[in-house]
Amino acid sequence: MAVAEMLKVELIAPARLKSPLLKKFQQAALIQIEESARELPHEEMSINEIDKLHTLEERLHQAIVYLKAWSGQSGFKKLLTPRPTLNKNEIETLRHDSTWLKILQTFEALKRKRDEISAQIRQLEREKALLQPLASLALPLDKVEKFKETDFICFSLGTLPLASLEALEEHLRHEPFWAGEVALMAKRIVMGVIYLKEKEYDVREVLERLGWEPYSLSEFVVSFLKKGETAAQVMKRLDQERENLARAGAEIDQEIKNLTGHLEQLMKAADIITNELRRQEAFQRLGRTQKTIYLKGWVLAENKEKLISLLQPYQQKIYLNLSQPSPEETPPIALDNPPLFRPFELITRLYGLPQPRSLDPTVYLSPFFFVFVGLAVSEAGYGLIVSLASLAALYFLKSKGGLRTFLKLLVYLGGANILFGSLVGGWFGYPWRKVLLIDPLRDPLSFLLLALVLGFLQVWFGTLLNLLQEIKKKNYSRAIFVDGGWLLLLPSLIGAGLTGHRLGWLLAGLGALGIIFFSSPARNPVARFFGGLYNLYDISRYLADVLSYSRLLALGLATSVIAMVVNTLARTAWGIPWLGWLIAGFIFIGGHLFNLGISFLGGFVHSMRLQFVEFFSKFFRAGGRPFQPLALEGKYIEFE
Amino acid sequence: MALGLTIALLGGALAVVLGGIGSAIGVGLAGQASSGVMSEDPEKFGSLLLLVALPGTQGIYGFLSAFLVILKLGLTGGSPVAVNFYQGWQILIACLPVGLTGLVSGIHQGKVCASGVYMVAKQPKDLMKPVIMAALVETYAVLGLLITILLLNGIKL
Repeated sequence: MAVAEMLKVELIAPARLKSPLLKKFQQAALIQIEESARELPHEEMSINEIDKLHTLEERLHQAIVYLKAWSGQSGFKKLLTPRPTLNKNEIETLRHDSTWLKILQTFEALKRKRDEISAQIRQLEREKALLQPLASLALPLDKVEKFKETDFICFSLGTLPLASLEALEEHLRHEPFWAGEVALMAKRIVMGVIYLKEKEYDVREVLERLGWEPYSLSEFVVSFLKKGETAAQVMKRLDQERENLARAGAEIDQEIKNLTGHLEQLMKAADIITNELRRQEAFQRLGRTQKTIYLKGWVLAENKEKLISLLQPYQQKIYLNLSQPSPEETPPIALDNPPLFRPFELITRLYGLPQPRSLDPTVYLSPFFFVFVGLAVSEAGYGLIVSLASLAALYFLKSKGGLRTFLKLLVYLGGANILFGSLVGGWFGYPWRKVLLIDPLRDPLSFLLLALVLGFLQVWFGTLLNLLQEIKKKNYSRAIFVDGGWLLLLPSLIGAGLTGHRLGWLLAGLGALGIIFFSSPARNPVARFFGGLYNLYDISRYLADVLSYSRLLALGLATSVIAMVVNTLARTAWGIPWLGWLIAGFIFIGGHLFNLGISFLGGFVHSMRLQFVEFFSKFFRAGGRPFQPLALEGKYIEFE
Repeated sequence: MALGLTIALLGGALAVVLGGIGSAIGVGLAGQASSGVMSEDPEKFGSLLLLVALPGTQGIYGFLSAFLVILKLGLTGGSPVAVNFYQGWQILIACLPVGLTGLVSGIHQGKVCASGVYMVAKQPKDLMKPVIMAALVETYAVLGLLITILLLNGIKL
């Protein structure tokens, strides 16, 4: 029940064994491989190959994301389906099986075709929109395109701002040209203009001053249109074309949809590639010479035998050394607690893993955390709901890893509330008088006292843990006089304050002396004395720490009062004729669910803060790095 | 008599209004930040909701204090308790801790949550860390609530 013991692994093997060894290690998930690569001229595995694997992985991920969106599973159903599993023996066969690669290629070809069609459809729509202003033009478009001028007159099509229409009419009276309206757009008007060729220069100048913009058909339309077709006819044909494309697109969609049946195969392949990449990256970390590889890493001491038997077949060819880490080395951290306490590791992890050779606080914080959440929420009814819901989720979701641990923790915390809710709270706002020890609404001071006593216990216990830790580090004087001093001073001060007994004052003074003379690191005795005296001032910190636990009362009361408010409102609503029962039911269920949410959030977060700020500050230093053995880990699937 | 009741009611109103303002501003700050993040990454809705909801507790503390005042004055049953001038002031003063700590801590908790939202945008796995940071601010609203409850409990009517 502490930080798990680690052994250093050193292994030298012939280079040709690298692949089988790494594969074995990955399957066994025993060792974390450290960086020990040296600059060596000989590189067996080129970066190129890693790049290739990366690209393949990326392609698979893209295909999976796309196909998943097509598979049409709803969110809830997806949550309930367990992840597909893959036997370790199947890995090799699947890796060299080319079916999934073919599926991937088929998918990519279809996807490319689909993208092309989508692009074409978009273009057709754009072209149609561009032609829209000419829809009412009876002139065939090829005439518009070709018919620009004769020997004497010119024709041109263009748009003018609506605002310059009046000015145009004015000009029409004097200038020798004719203009005809073709269509109205939002702010401009499409016009055809015919004028004498000899006046071309003047007319153009007038038109430009009015804001004329020549209208020309796009290249696409020019190549698309047939002789004698008007704009309306071309647009109709564009529509037909678009429909054809859409139909073709739908056919491809169907083909892609058919591929979703192979989704599982792709997911397996993706995870296999990912793990192969991980192995290659581990290989990059190895030390290498032309003929040998050197591996440095860590293994859990309890897995020593497993590692040795794993390497049994290679015994003759490799050199293996397992040793205790030297004091300068920092092994990675794995927590090792009895199953009962394991869910609480979540809280330790959140703060940070302990440093090597220090204490794992999980077991020590668990009972406190359990009680604190129980007091801060203190609602047995909510506890029951949370426990049952978490149990159901554990049973149905079959989740692994972090979520599973969290759900287990919630089962505990729900249980804590069933217990403490009955003792000092209520069931959905109604206290159960028979078992009620303290009614926090009528007697908040007793509850406050309980919270402060628990707080004092935890702070004192934290100091005791620090004492034990200092002894382990062989700082005897610090452990006995300073930590011991506080451990003696704090309770005897309270005892003296309560009873006024002389012994209490005596013991408190004794503790204070230890702190005064041993807490300062200074060598000069005067500085040491005053430094120690100053450190005695820390007592205000202890006081503040203990008072901080009063939040348990406030949070517990908040839950009870809101539950009561909900009940009162529901009761009031009950009196409404006809629909009263329905409204009351809504208020009761909705109100209590809301209260459950905020009170559990508050209870959880504040109890956690009490561990982190008040408890951990006494003895715990985080800063360990997690133990992450080379292992088979799936993004989509579980490896068996 | 009526004056005492009026002052007491002002106390209850202050508790709920000041706490509510603090929470409204706080939730507003965090909500704006999270909408920005969600425009890039809509999947984060669930985890961001937690941070946005967090500064909402001050309003709830104010609300429940006001409710305690209502209960104390017997306003729900239709037969108000007689409150004299001094008792009215006592109730008003008892309401100030939760109201004022709620007002200020709600705003500041909102700021902490807003920056927490940006943190979650970059480090989605570290959701609980900004939540704990925000809880450090909330401590003072909790203490304010505690004193308000104790004071209300101690006032003799």
